[in-house]
Amino acid sequence: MREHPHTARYVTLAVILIVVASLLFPLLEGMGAAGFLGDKTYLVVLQDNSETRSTGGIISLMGVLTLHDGHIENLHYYYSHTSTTMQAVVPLDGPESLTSFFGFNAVNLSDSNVQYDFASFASKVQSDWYNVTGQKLDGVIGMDFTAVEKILSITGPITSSGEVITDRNVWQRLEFYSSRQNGTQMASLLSTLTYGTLGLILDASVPQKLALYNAFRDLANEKHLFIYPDQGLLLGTGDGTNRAPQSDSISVVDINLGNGKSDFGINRSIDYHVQLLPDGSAVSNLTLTYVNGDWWGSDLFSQAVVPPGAKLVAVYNDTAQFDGPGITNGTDFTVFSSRFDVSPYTTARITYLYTLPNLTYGNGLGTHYDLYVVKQGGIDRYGLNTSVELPAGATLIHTENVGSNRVFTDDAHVSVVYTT
Amino acid sequence: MNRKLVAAAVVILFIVIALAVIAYAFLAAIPAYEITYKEPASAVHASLGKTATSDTIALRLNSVTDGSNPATAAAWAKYNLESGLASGIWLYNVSLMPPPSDSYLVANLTLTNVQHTPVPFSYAALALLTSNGTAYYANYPACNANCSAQALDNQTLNAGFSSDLYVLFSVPAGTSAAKLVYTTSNPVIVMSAN
Repeated sequence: MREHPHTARYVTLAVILIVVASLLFPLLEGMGAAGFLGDKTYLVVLQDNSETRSTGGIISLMGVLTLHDGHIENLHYYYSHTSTTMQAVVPLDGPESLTSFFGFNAVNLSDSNVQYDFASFASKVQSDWYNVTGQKLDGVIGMDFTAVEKILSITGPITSSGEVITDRNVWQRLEFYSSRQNGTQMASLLSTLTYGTLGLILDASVPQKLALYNAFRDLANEKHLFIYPDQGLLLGTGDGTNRAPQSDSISVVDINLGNGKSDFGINRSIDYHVQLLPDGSAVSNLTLTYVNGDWWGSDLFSQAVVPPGAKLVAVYNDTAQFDGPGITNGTDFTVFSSRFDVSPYTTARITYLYTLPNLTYGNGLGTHYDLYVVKQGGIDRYGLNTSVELPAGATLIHTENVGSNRVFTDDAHVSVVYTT
Repeated sequence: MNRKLVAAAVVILFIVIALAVIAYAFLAAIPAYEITYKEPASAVHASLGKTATSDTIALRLNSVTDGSNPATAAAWAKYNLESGLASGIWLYNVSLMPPPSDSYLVANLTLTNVQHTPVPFSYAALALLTSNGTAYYANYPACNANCSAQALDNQTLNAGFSSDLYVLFSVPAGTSAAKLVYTTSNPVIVMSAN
């Protein structure tokens, strides 16, 4: 067969176009997000992840940031406990597993991050912010104290209100300001850091810029940093959307109902045993374990979000002051929710035994079972122990992430392929 | 020839991508920042357990211990609770469990107002120095209710104030404290930790 005389030229041109496009699209997205293609106004939400809330942590500050050609045009932070804006009461449209359990449907704006994922909160808070202030937002940036630490490790130390702030002391300094309700000093620190980070993006050396970009990607993957709406290739899945496909899934969404900043001292792990039946349906045994290594307790409200159609068979707990379980049946999920104490230096466990409809699928290679474990924002890491029991007579072909003592800092995918 | 050209283009592309990945990994390494502190010549010095005095306050470093020390942990818990209750807002219990590869060191100091009038004080001006001069600025303080109301809430010590104060420092694992310095007094106070 004779080759077309221009084939090589076309292939070379195509390769060059692919390379240029792959460089250009993130650049355009970055420029758009930074206000080069029109001013952008973001709501910046600082979440204290030592006090767990659904989307990452209790909200310490909210700020309005306007970018123009990559520079900060305007920046103002509001402290959650003293700002009348953040104390404004907003309606809640869910999640039902929370509102039904406690019987309320409105909260302060500063307490409104109760959705199962950041993207759901971000779209709602944009609307709430407009209703409260009349100000339109282009997006919402969420970051927790872990993200602040990481960003400071790249920008280097800063001086705020005369104090030297480093990546080593920023966490406790923010806690100290919060404990004294010193919103001014907290806002000052965040303002200095915001200006410093934007300055670094524009003026830093190439290694610093790359380090910052790498850090942002890692923080987004590990759900310490969110930018909503999705910025495409720039930050991957950084908008915080729960993207678990139609398969088996577990998303544990905890809320610390007390205070005392106890969540940093609690290790979380998920034990999951699933028995696959010949018709593809399953019997699942999910145990959530909380090991409190610190000297004060935690009052936790835990929501286990699992696939739609799940039917709770039994619940076991060895926790203190157990309240629940609540069961919420939605079109996209089922939620088992409970409230319990994790006392100092103790271990609390709660087990849900439930059935699942057929979530396996077949292709030429065999039958596939997939489990997606969705990490909650703000949590540093969790342990995962999974075991999958195949139908009688089935032959195992392949497994991924099945077994004990695995530790994840991001979402996990467990996969099993077998033949029957 | 055309096939050779295509093959060459593909090979060059792979090489360029591989070099870019290597360069990216190399350049994207996060630089480590360390702060060094140079003591001013005018600084006053005290050895461990001895008091040094500036124009407004006197400080005595009683000990520097690891946060895992049971006595330190007990004192930390006691004074965190007292500080929280004194603030009248809510409890802020700060963990003594450091992240992996870090250590928490806790300094126990005695703080005194040497004036007959209120004087300013900020725990944030305290830094822990290693033997090579690397400085780690304070993370979090705790002390009894009376101390907390003055030294931590108001950051002002009344006349006659004297109290023990516990201050947490986060350092890389294996780091030893050589000195503690109060950086904003006149003169600067430097206390030996050994």
